[in-house]
Amino acid sequence: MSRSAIIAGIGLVVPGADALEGLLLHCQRAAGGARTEIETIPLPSGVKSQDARRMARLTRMALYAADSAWMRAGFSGRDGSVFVGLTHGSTSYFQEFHDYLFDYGPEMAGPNAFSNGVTNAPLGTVSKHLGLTAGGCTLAGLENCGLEALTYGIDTIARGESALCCVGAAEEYSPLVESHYRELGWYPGAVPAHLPHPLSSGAAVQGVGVSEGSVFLALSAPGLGDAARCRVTPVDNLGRLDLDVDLVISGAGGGPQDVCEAEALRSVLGRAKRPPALLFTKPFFGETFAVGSLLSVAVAWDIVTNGTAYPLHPASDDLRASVAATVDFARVNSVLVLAAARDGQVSAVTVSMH
Amino acid sequence: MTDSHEVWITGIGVVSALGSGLDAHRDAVRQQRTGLSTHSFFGGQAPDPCVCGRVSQQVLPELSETCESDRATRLLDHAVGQALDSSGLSASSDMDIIAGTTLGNIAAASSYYRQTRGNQSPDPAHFGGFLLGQPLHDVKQSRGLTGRSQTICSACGSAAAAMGQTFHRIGTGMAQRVMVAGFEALSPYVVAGFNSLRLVSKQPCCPFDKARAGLSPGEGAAALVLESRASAQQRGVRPLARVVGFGAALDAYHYTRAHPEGRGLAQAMLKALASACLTPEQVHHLELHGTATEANDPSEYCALRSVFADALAGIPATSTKSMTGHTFGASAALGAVFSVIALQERTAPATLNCHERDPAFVDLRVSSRPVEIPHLPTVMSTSLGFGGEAFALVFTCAEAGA
Repeated sequence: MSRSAIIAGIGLVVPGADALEGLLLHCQRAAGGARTEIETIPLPSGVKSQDARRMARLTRMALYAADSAWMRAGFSGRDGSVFVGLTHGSTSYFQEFHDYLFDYGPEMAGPNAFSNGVTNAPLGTVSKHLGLTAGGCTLAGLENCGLEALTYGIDTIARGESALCCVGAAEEYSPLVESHYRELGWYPGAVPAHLPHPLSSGAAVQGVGVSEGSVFLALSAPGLGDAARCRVTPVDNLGRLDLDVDLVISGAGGGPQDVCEAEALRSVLGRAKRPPALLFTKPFFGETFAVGSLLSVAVAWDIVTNGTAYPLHPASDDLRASVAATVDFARVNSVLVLAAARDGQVSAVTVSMH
Repeated sequence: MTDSHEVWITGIGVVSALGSGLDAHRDAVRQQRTGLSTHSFFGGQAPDPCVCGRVSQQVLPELSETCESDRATRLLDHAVGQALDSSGLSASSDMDIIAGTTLGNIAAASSYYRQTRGNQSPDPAHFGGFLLGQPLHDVKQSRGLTGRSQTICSACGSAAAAMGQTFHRIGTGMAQRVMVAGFEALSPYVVAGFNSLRLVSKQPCCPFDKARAGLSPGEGAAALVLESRASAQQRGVRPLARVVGFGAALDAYHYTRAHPEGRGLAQAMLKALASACLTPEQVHHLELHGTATEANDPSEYCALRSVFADALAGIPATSTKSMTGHTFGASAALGAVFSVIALQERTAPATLNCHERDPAFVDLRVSSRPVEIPHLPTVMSTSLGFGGEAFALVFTCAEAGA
């Protein structure tokens, strides 16, 4: 079983960008700090505004991103499966339901906030809108959860259960979530001047604030279509990874996962004969939990297919500065996307041109 | 799938309103006993008294009133511990664990939010209620399991999705052994939520009955060790049953209502049959989702009718939710346990409270009494979930091919 898939389309929405083409500009603008919330979540065509109003915020984001990915891939009207990664779910509808429950009692708690707030609402909404019937599921997890969902999608294609797959993640900004992490001192909101270099030891840097967004990828089986395409392949064991990668995109960004992220990076970079360059995307997008790793995949796709040069976050020491200075994005053919979660689980994929 | 990648069930742990352990559930099936009782979630305010399948403290002493915030974790931990014992594996096993749940420790999140609303300083530990993967992570740590963990939240089909993922991993040789589980805890949130959708019955639920009026909420956990035939034989272990087929599909119809013609479920069942290389006529018992809601049961019936056609009338079918209540994210894992019991006992469990079958389900062979099936090698179990999720699993008896 060949475990890989082609990324045929990408849709996304983050504060400051609602398409892949806007990511670079967003990163350049966001050098001073990521924004928290998306001002306006665009609606895909065919969705009535009154229907959209009932949806949870993260469902609206997921719907837009999934629709964009599917349309850009040219998959409109075609069937496939759906996998979604989430971290905190719809906290806004959770709160709304509880407000009624606490203030007026169980008989007054409204069905909309409950049914639209369930974890599976984004998947169900995407499935209905795009007419996807080939199965799927929602994964709940931490910072690496988006890559876990992506791996589920790739495996579904590899097993031949579905030729096409829509995979994504969504996270809505929540003051409740932010205040909790702020209390713990994990995500104080400012972009750190320096991120910890994985080859040096030291405490994690507090940084990047909590943000929101959604990214979806339209996947197809390798061999469908004739154009040279960008391939994504899961990495089960970093220790066995063939280190023919030009660039590593790390999920480090100041949160509690940095310790695990640094450990994973050390194991990768320590074995490399020719150290790959490093790129940190979280300072530009903020901490979007499950979404973050798929944003990294989107950036990787942009780099290997378009040679787009993304700004590098200020380096913390000479070593990383020297590594970063060697990046020639036009020559990057293969990228390792790494996402370590604070519970110690590490997920990784390679994104490469074939 | 090669023979060596055949998927065997080599360990089971289960806890529900019926009791703790496989034997307790087997006894309940034999005795046609229900675990449904009444419980107050809102201080007596409607929808109290709620008819539900709550796990009592007599069954699980660690479920004290003061541990509502991690009730789901305790249920899961209990089932996982039993499954490890039953499989003969050590607690320090490096096997992966995949679990399904709808709401995890949602009571902890409710408590956290209530405290913030009251301008109190919330207990940071309760924030874990917002992270649905937290219970599995905690259980993994407490049991010393060192493999990867994944939590699937596909509503009431969560455990089925987890079983399917596990089935594929072992069947394709990606893993030799995986623990799969489903768990759910009752809480005011889940009862109020389903009550807001007008889906909670005031009487004990009666699946497929003419007078059915909704579901009875339930809680519980079931964990199963799935293992490749090669791995189990190497350990000298015999299977309790085998998993031979899985199918998943989506209705693409509505985010809470199942398609009225059961479009997704029909597709899932056909896929499961295809992956098991079976025809509909080769299924001998149906362990159904059967929630007893007004809309769900007809949708499920339509799907069954479209797949099994005239053969349906000859296949004894059961919904065990009148025994355990609807355990939501755990229900498919409990369904797997009841499927194993049916295979071992060669009996389709009774569908309690189904006294007068809805005439719309004219050829659905549900019975309020157990039905002996002398030749029972194959069971199909079905699951549905919000989001239009539909799943089907096929189990065969231990003797088949062992």
